[in-house]
Amino acid sequence: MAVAARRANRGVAEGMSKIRALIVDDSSVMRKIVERSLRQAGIDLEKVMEASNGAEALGALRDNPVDLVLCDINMPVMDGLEFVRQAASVENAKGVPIVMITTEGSESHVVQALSSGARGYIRKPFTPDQVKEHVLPVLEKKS
Amino acid sequence: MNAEPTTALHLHPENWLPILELSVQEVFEIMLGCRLQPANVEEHSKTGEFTAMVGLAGALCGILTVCCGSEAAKLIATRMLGPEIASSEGQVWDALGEICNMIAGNFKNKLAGMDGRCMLSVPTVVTGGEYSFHSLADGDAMSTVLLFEGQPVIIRLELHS
Repeated sequence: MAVAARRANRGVAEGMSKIRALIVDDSSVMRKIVERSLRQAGIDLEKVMEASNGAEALGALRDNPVDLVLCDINMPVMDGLEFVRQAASVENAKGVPIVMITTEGSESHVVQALSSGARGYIRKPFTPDQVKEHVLPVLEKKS
Repeated sequence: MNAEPTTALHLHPENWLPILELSVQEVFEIMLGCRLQPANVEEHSKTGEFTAMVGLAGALCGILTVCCGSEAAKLIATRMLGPEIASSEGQVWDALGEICNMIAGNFKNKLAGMDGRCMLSVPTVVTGGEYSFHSLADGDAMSTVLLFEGQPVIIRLELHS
């Protein structure tokens, strides 16, 4: 893990391309905290899009090029797990890594999310270092 | 095999208060960068002007509430977002609701045997102090008061039997 993180950090330092991120959470406070954590992780954000539920996020994915999605699970209208399942059939979203950020920390939720197509899982409360540890490797794989 | 952890879960709620307090401390330390201080429960039993609540359903059923005064609620939002962003009342509600949500999630994640069998509601925040709170939970209840920057924050967990 330490090696992967070091390699990932080097990727950022050596000029990983600018990232267009979509942050999905029904809490606007949490969306801002996630954005700040991404910046603190050294990720160069070209554009940050926000959605307050899975249905809005699907619309954003269809209409915009996105490099990374960070998504809550418990949301009204459409939850994060359903969003991950439906995102797999969105043409623009093919290969776009989705990382869950959620209070749902049970093993079964992690398994459900990863088997639905999520690439990472961060439990709330989280530190910027944890965001870095989980997000940088998936971005590195994508690039 | 699944029945065993559930049984254990219902047998030991009297041991959960330290787990709840640890869950609260972790959320405040990680998200707000501060350590809460212990307080006397009797001295701070009055409900604050802000009450955030998250429902629990499934293997663990009940409600978790976080109550505090307006000064503490605004300070929580400021610590989470920074003074330049945490300006509106809506953001204060949102911040307190998220704190409550994270405490509930952190708490249930620490209970053995809970894996995936307890769901959380989205948070609700009530403002104003002139009300009485009547949870219909008829089981165990526990509460703790911790001081955040000298301000009391009351955390209650009420469970259905």
